[in-house]
Amino acid sequence: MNLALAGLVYLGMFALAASMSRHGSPLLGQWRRLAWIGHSAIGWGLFGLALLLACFAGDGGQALVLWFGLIPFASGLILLALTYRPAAARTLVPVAALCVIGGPFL
Amino acid sequence: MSAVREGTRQVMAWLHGWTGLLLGWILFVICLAGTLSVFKPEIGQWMRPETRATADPAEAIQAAATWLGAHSRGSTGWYLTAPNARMNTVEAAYDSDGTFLYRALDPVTGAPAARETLGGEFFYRLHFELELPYPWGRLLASLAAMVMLVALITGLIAHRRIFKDYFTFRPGKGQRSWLDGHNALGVLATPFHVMITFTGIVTLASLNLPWGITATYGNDLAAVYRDLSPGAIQRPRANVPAPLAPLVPMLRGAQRRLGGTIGRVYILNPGDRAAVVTVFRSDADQLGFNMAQMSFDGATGQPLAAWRERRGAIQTYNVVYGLHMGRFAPIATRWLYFLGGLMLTLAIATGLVLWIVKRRERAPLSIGNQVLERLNAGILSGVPLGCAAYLLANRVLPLGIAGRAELESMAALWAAAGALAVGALLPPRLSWPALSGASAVVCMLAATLHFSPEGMTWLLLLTAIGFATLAWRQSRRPKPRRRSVA
Repeated sequence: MNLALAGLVYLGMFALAASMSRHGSPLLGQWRRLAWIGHSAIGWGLFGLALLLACFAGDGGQALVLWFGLIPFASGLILLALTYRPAAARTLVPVAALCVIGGPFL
Repeated sequence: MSAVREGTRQVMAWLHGWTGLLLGWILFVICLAGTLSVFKPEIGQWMRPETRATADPAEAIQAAATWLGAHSRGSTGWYLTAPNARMNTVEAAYDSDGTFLYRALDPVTGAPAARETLGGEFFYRLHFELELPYPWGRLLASLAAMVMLVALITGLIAHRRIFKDYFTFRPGKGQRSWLDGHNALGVLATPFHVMITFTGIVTLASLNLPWGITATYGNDLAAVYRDLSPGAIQRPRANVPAPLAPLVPMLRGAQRRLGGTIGRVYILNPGDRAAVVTVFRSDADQLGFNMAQMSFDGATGQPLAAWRERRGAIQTYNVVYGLHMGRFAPIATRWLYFLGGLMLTLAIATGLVLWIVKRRERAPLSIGNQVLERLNAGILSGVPLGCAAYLLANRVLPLGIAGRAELESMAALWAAAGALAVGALLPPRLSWPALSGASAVVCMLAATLHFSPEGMTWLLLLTAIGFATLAWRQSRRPKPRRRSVA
């Protein structure tokens, strides 16, 4: 569950960053054809989905705390990648997607 | 309307700057110590490498009580924390011959750990007591937390493009880079910063807002504790000696009744017929702190009272307190707490540096700002150096010397004071790299002397590399551009 939450928050942050005029182009790089990824609605949607999952995790609020903690972690990763190596942020997208798919089964 | 908005922003920016400057250095100490306290048990375990035995928590508490029974005199209470997955020793706070002591006890023999040290407790106490006597340290920490909340809120209002700049950091651009860094560190972890500051204030609420308690209870503090923890029985000493009944059956009984695992065990009036053993459920698996407790007659082992907290207001307070302490946090969440704390610490440090950088780019620094610049170098480098010196002292001080734990703390304070003196005496272009280099060397030594391949050692080595890189970059920094007075 934790991995799925982390994946969703990262993907949400990535989409939000890609939707910004200043960051969209360096962040998407060769993925420009997939520009729909960089839509703020997708970012907020994934972000909200992670929040919903955290709220209904049934572990006495621990997942909710994790969700809050993942925000600076995911956004910090994207900020560092944007500053020094935008391709690294893209590399993490499939990893995050795998976490979302595989996380609940681990 | 926009003029009003701009005016508001300017006022907020002014307030943000001055509140940050006023208590920034104290907040830096509080935040760094708090960040390190996230790993308080792990630090304690690393600092006691000779004590590796583990035992069942109930048996470890029994061993500790047996040792305390033989070695404490005239004690009014033993306050024990059971070992758990993160810490193998029993933490004991107790009084003996009128002196209040803190010891980590071996879980098997019950005797104090061979290497006398406060362990992570030093950082934990520094976080909210600042090495000052009660209540001054706590009051100052409380005031600093309130100022911090003001600085956070005013900082958010003053930030003109909070979402546009959310992922922005432009390195190598002087003041712009410092501002970006400060904003990113502050804004990316805003929920954490607000949570930890607010819960910190609430944690010390009985001290900073005592009037509600005074109005209801007057000076009867016992009544306050009785109402807060109805399951924790307090009664006066009977002054009739009586041995303590076996603790293990009491602890097992409490565990069955309360669920979870044993957290803390308080033994009041030990060795007396009126002894009371109170068992608190561990809060390692729940957000709320101290949710359930059960008391036993210490002499007979018979249950006296049990209590599971269900009152809304107190449960709310316990959750707020628990959120600040973060004891519930599994490993991933603990690291995120550490990351959030580090970001807050660095946000404060970059804010303090930014104050100087901004003014130097505008005009020659005034005498006051030159003093601030030197104090910045001394304190922002000195506090981490002091923390590293504390860990190094743990490795170099011989075992068995009197007052060893106090000497470790003194090493930290003297190292920080020395760094402050270096910062005050040397120009910043020399003091910054010198002090960062010193921190790197001290971290390296602390990690390698009596090397043990644990997470804490690797983290220290990484920190040493980080400080060495910082020192190298600071030594290559061009001399700051100072405008001449026309």
